[in-house]
Amino acid sequence: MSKSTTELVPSNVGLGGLYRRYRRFALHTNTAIRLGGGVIGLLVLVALVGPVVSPYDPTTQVLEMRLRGPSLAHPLGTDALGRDVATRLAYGARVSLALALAATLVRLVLGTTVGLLAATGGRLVDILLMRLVDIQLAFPGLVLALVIAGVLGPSLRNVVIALSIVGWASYARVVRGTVLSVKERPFVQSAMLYGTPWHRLVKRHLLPHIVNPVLVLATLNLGTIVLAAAGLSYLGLGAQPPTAEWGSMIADGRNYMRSAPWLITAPGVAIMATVIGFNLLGDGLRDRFDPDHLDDRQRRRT
Amino acid sequence: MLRSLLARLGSLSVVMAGVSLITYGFVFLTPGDPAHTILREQRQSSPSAAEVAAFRAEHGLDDPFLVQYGSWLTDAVQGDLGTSYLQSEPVTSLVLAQLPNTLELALAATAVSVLLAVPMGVVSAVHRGTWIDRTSQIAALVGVSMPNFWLGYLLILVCSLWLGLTPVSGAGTLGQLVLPALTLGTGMAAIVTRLVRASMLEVLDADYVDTARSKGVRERLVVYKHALRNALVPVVTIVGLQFGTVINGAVVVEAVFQRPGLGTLLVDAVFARDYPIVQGVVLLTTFAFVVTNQLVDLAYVALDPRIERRGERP
Amino acid sequence: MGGPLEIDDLHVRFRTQSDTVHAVNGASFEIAPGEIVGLVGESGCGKSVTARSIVRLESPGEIVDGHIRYDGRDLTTADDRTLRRLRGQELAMVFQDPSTTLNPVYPIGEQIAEALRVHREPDAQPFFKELARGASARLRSTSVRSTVLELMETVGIPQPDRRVDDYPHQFSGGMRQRAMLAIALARRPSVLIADEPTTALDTTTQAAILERLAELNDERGMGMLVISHDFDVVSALCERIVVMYDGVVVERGPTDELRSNPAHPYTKALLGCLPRRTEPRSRLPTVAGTPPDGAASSGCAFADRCPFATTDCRTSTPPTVAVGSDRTVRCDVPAARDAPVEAVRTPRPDTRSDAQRDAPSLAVDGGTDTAAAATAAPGDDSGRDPGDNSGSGPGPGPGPEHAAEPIVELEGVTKSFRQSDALLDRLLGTDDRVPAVTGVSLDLRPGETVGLVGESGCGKSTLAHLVAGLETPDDGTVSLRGQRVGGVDARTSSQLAEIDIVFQHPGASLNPKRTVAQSIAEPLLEAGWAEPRRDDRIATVLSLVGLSSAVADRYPRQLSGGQRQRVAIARALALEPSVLVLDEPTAALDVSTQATVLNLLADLQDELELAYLFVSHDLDVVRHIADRVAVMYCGELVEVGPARSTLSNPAHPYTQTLLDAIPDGRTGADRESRSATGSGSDALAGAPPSPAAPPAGCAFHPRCPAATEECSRTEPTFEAVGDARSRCLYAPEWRDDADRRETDADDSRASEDRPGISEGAPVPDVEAAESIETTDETDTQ
Repeated sequence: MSKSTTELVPSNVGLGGLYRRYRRFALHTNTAIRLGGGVIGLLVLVALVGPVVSPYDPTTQVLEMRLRGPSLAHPLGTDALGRDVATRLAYGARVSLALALAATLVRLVLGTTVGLLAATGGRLVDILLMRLVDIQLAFPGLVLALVIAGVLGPSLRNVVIALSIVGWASYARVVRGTVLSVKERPFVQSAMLYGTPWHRLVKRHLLPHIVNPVLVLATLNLGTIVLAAAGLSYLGLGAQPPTAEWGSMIADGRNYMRSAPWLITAPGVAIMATVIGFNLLGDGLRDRFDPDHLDDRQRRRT
Repeated sequence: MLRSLLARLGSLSVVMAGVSLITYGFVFLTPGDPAHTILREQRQSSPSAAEVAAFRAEHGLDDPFLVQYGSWLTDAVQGDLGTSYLQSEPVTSLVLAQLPNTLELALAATAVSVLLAVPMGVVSAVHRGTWIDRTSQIAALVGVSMPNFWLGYLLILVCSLWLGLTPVSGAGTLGQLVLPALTLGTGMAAIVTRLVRASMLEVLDADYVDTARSKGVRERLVVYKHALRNALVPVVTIVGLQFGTVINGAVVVEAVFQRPGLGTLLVDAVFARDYPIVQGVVLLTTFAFVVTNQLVDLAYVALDPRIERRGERP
Repeated sequence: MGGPLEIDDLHVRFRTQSDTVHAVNGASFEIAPGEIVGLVGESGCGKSVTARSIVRLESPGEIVDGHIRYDGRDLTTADDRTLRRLRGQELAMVFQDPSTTLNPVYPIGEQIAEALRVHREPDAQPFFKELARGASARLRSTSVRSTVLELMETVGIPQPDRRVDDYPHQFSGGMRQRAMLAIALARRPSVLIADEPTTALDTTTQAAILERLAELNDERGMGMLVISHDFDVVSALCERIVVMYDGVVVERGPTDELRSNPAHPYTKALLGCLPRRTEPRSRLPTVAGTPPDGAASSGCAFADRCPFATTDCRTSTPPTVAVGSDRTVRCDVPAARDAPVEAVRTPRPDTRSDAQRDAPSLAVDGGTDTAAAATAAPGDDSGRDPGDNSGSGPGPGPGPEHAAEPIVELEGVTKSFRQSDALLDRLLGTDDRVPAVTGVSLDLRPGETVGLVGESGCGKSTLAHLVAGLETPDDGTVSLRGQRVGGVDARTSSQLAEIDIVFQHPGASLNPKRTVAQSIAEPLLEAGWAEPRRDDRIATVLSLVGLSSAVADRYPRQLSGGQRQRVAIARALALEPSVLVLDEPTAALDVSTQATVLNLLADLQDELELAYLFVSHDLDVVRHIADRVAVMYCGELVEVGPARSTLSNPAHPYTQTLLDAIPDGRTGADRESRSATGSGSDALAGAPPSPAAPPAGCAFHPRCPAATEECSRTEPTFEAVGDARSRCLYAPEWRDDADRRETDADDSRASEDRPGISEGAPVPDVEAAESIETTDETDTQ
């Protein structure tokens, strides 16, 4: 269908190009990338430096200092066990970032491999793998993660496992879709004409084209994983006390909401800032790399 | 038509078969012997060998896996999801008892999200680049990035504790529905807003929108009659998907507002290792999601006359 | 009838974050009531922006200066209400690509009806009522419905009552463009602005649409502005022509004068580039330099490409000079204005400064490169002169055909594609296969060019892929030097090196993430060449295609379209193939670039003894470059023969149809007669039948002007007719008759000359309703 129309339209795309160019620049992608990168950079700095600089221990209870409001000594106050909230926040940043990075990496490797296999393997391989992808995508993500983490037993490691298992299918879809569309492009056909073997075709022409969409997906994914992990910890399935983790800090603070609102505010803002950072970065990268952008529904699943 | 229906049913049953297999297989992820672990955690002490054996016999855990799975699936297809380990009640009736609460929440949250998101997304796209657009884009970004349990507490803090407008927890009355629905709906709305905006921007650039303008059609009709209708197709997908996976949010939001429902049932069952309930809820919610997906596909035909011809979507 | 439409010193710019693009830089022209004016220029010259600005749809561009006056009112300052009124009642617009200009979710009828309602009451447009109208799938109001049906009939949509509630996707491209036309006519406009109205259509459909436009102008006295990149399209229709270059009107005047005696060097260049203006297989004149990019510049924008440019031209803006009555040129150099068309060729070396020569070829597509190629090629330019050609060139004579064994031989090649990819269909094996190529036998000899022509979807690209090995035939054989070969996977490396392919879109055939050198190196790498040898070869092929070695490290996006196509050709040449499959290699290029690429291909063929399979939908191009022509219809070859005779004296009615459809920009008298004869070629404009269900008998019979009942029953065989072969029951008579027509006056296109033609040609196949045009249309109007 589309082929027959493109076949006859000559290159009078000057006007269209102009309009497209206009739109792309109008999105201020650089601002988004810079802002998002800045937020994430700051966060990484806090996670690295914070614990070193802080005079407090994140887990030692100081009962006489319970529920103190923000002050010079405790810029974000103390919690119900007298621990410094700011210090716990910095340690929590380590947990969140490490967890998000680990789970994203597993998803990425697993999903990309499956996607590549499905797109380049035989028809049967494709059918089987894509059914697997369909099955994974049929599960509500957080529920599946919740059940896996619950069955394995509550711990941070199991949260990583659970969140890795549920998210890889989106990568598989994106990679397969990209490879299949690139495969039809004339430059790949040319390459086939001079007898390029399959593995070199993948390396030379296909892989470079999946890097960008996968990178964008991964950046956006980091944010959703931070959210999901915080949710699981909030429910009591992730980090176990006394580990400092943002989600469980909110769970701990909920009973003191009226008297010590900073207990839920600080970790909440931290989670939000992290996710905003990753989202800005991901959106910015997407607009830069791939104006046709990924289906929004692929990133929506936890 | 018949063929595409058949194909659809075929792939649906393959997916559901895989889903049920995995759902049932959860039990065997339990570290060590499931029966032993379950009993130990229930009683907080090591069970005797005889107790473990009795438990295994009672719940048919001695059969080979496929036999167990087969009989569970056969029952499940007939509406029998087994019996709870702890409450010795049929899982089906436990689930059905909680379903209305969650369904109510899901519908209310979806309504909130659509009512907030569509106008916001359209206005944002029409006034692209202005302060209205920027404000709504920032709002949507914040909405997407906020953990919903945290938003729930903020709403409780402001509306219930400070202003005393709504009850803090429970379910049943309209007042008790407002905050949970807002909490759940805001996050969904943020995603839909971004999608409506993106979709509208694309459609507003389309040639047929210029055709409409060149006919002398009023701008308001150009936007709502010619553009929005076309922009709705992806929006319907995402709203359907969100409705289908609302259980994800419900798990957390029901915990925040201490609201009975499927989410609460599931979380409690996960902690108690009451696997029949866990399996039942997961199977039901997954099935609900898959069915919603199919309904969305059907809705497409009404929205976009081209789909009919294209047949099955990839 | 409204007043004149005047565009006065229009300036439109686009502001992006990084730069400002001046799309229109002071365009001025006018359209008198009832007049047809053509606006011509290459891509990026600002013609579309000008057209959109007239109806004030220039956003996101801004009109920064100048006026657009219609009937005394200034549209640049008009408020929304006035604009709505004008758009709804006076100024209608038809856009380029009918696949995107109709709203996909509303039935055609509703979209026409909406225009009617707006026309009637532009200020009413009740919001919710309109929304509700959109929601209903059928057109309710009977009075509106009958007007809509009338309009559909007027624009030539057959069986309007059956199609009125259909959606755009159920219409073919040509029918969609007719629907657009109906939407425009619903407003009974005084001026119709048509922006590339036929560019996205097949030539046969294009001819029908152009004819319809001419009739409408005749009947309604509707003024028109027809915008096109194609000089022939515009001249076929317009009384006056406006030529734009870089946002400026460089010349305007009556069509005939402008064509026969163009004054501006750019107009000369544009006309000179057309393949039909030169002898077949001769060298096409080309324009030097690259089209401007819309950056602000002082002086004449064309100066850099103009062989007559003086220093004045580069520094001061040239004045607009009147040449004769009603004719102006924006050029101050008398020598340039008076020079013949042929003079505007590749600039002579002495007109170029040294500085320019030192910065060669990077941004330049045409001149320097071709000059370089020409010097690299053995033999001098004069050897390609038309006069010399018949003697030494591989003309249509018996030369190459008997000179050697065929290098590529197709025998009874058949290929079909699966219609559905669904799992269930695969399992059940119930999928319908759509034939793309059916029983094609064709051979290609060393050093010859075979042109493969046909409408879109006729299977010509599939055939090209079969030859290259990108597809394998279901049946029949493809042989290379007498040896049967399969797909690429089954070919030996020396067989792979023999054939290479050049695709239509040069942008898509190069991996955007690899440099030019990397792209060209790939086939060499696969063939196992060592690095120093590879580098040498890359330099060699780059110079062969006339690109400087500095291009090697660039990425495709840094090159112009013509340069990219040269790189693609260079890569195809890397392994010294003996056959090049060229799949619409110039279809995506501007005419001036097309000319340089065609010249390059001719040079390469001479030098390297290449055989070309040249796939194209453009008969002028094929006539120019091909020795033999193969015409495809519905997956079958319907005629094969020497290019010159086949394209002047075809032995198959389909070939004649294609020839008739070419807009030929003949003189004013022809334009008159053309519009007067009415629906001449309109009857041929129906879309080709669906390949899934080709008509019984001769596949062409439902569209054939000479079809008899016999044609719907008997499938014709491929028979020799003179030096050609044709698949038509009446080929000999057809050809004899064509001979007679040939000897007759120039008026060979009048339909009454055709043999066996009957006004009420039997229409045996109701299934092919889409392709049946109402033959008695003129009577109904």
